[in-house]
Amino acid sequence: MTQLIISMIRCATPILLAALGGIICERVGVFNIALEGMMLFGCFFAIYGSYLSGSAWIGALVAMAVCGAVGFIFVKLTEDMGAEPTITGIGINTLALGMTTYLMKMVFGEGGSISAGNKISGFERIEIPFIKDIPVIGEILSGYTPLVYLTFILVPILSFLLYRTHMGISLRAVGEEAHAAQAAGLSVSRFRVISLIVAGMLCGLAGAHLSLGYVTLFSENMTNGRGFFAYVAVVFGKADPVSVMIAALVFGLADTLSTKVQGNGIPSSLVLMLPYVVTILALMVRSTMTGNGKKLFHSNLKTKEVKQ
Amino acid sequence: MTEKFFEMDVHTMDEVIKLENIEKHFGSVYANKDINLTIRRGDVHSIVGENGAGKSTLMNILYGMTRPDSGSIYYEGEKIEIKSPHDAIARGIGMVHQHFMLVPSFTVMENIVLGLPPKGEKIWRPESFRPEITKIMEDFGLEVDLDAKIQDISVGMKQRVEILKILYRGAKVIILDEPTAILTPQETKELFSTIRLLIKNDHTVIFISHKLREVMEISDKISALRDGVLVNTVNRDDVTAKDVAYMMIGRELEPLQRTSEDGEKEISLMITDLQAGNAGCVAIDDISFCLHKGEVVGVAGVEGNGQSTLVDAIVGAQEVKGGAVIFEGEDITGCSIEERMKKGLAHIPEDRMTEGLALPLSAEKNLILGIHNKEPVKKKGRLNWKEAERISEELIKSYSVKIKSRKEAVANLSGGNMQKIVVARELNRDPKIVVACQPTRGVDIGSSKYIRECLLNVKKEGGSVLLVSADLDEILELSDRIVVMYDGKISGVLDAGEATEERLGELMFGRG
Repeated sequence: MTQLIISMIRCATPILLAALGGIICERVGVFNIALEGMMLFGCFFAIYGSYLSGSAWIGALVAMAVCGAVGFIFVKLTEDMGAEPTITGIGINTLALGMTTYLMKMVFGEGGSISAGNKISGFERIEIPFIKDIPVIGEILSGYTPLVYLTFILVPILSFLLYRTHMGISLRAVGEEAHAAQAAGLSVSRFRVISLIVAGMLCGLAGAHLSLGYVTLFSENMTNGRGFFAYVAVVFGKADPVSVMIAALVFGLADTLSTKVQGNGIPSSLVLMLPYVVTILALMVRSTMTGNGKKLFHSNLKTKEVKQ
Repeated sequence: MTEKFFEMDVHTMDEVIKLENIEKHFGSVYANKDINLTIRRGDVHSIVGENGAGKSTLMNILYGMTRPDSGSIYYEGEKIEIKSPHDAIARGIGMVHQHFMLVPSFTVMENIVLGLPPKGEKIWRPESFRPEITKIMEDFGLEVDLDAKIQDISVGMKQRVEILKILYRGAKVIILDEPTAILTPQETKELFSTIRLLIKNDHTVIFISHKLREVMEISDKISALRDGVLVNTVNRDDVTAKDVAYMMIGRELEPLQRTSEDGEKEISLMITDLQAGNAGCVAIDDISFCLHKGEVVGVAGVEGNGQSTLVDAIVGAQEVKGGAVIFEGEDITGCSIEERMKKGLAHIPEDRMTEGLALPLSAEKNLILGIHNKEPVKKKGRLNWKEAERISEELIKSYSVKIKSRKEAVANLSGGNMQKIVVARELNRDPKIVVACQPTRGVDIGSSKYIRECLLNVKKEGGSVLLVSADLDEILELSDRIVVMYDGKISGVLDAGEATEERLGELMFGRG
């Protein structure tokens, strides 16, 4: 049981990190399906950074920088050049898959997966003094990589920023009613550009957690749909950080179970479907709930329209 | 001579805003041409004109949303440049737009304060704004619950929030763009008392409207625009409503002739115990009424009280949960939209842009929609373009739609002309029943009158019209009977003879 909870938290971390980025996008009114691709870029560049510098932290910074840049390109394309966000998102996802696979072969000369031995350093686990000695609770709370702690600390921070600061209120106004925000003198496009860069950086961290957290390797299509789960978590949690965290934990549990149940006589392909089944169920449950909050996800107003 | 100069000096001191030779053109069309206008402090200055006369452009220039091609703006005698709404607000010019600029899920307070720099700290503390806002509320009689969410308050309240918002930002000159178009008579009265309080407190109000009665009631001065040119500015006390109408449209406007015959008439549409309403729209319940041949029945009510759901249920755009829609004795509750159309139901939808027209298509194609799959437009399984041409040319001519050619996309037309296309198409099918929703919303006076005449023609020829409108004047002008809706139910049915604006207003608020 304890092992299951620990594993759930570990698996939920990358989904939650990317979902926090997704919350910001959704709240500022940008439909971002590119979380997956950004995360995959993050996986690769974290490994690359760590490989070059020998430090996992530098690796994470490189991943954040690259993904922040991807976020910037995304928002420039959709807001300034009027590209369709869904298409742009799919484009970035496809590009990420192709480019990381290609770069892996170019840089490391290997296909499939790389784990260049001792040259890549991953994150150390943190044992919290005193707490780690408490039975059960100590086991659950202690012994994760720093990114796991950072992620769960970010949840209340993001909540506070969104609901209790002027900046958060302005950001939500931009996302919900861009015309109103503009009339109130806020710069819609500035909010969107900065938000997307931050969201990209969070996806970069999510990728770093995947490739440097508990394993130190990169493999082709390593994210394997986690970015999409993150988006579903955002939708399911109605872009509220705490609800989204709960959704991410549910996905983390499904992810864990699908690996744990394997080898118990149940066909593995069936078990591997679990996270996806949970996703579909989650979406179904949500759509049967009242339409309250639905508008948030369908009122993406382009800056172009606002300018008229 | 000296006396005259002295007088002029006094006037310059009084003037808050002076527009000098303002010109703006879009393409080859002048939206504003050589406009000279002076607004005096403490006046309610009305700007009247038909749609497309250039009122909005002029106000957008004053509020910094549009830059003029040439001309200058003076504020208290000083020449200023207004590059953005931000500049306008900094100068004390505020505008309440026709479409509210409010965030629905935010509280009133959050909306008022939105976008202002935080008071020293970045953390949101609503209490720090409360005393100031409360004082403005009290001074101007703008009672609102500061902690209510925008999505939960009435249209009239939202307008108050908008006015509060600009007053809180220090506006001294307040532009109200068609403020009464969405208000009930009672709410309009309250708005007018607010306007009077504003004037008393040394503010200036620019009031944009085409409702002559209101303009005559509230204004000190009236300026009329026509085709981008300022026709005249007059003192309210020197003119009659008729004079102002003449200034606006350049000709006399004759009142509509409404015939009403007595005697028993056949029922064409009967609604019994109708119940409908999906998630996301107002539910209606227990709706029963009938529509006779040769009758116009008006459906009045504050918007959002179930009128749209009722219309959807009648035309077949929404499933019915209970009750029946009976068309000439036949139950059509389960029929599709197409079947209903075939039986002789026509629908002029509320929103011409999204439901009424295919915007990128030509006027010709829009006009034959619905008859394109019938003889004679359909011929041997193909479209007969000659016939389409004949029909569309005829309709464009008889409805005098202003359009370059029938091939032009309807998206390029003005609101009034778009609406004419919708009306022309729907009435061309010789319908037995016309369900007309807000048929003249945002349409100028001349076209409105024409569309209303068309609806009365349907009635004259024995058809029936269900007129859903938020415009009480329109309802009163056309209807033989009026059904008033409140909160998804019928709050009263009145005969044309007994319907007064006050009585309707009471029913619209459910105080029947």
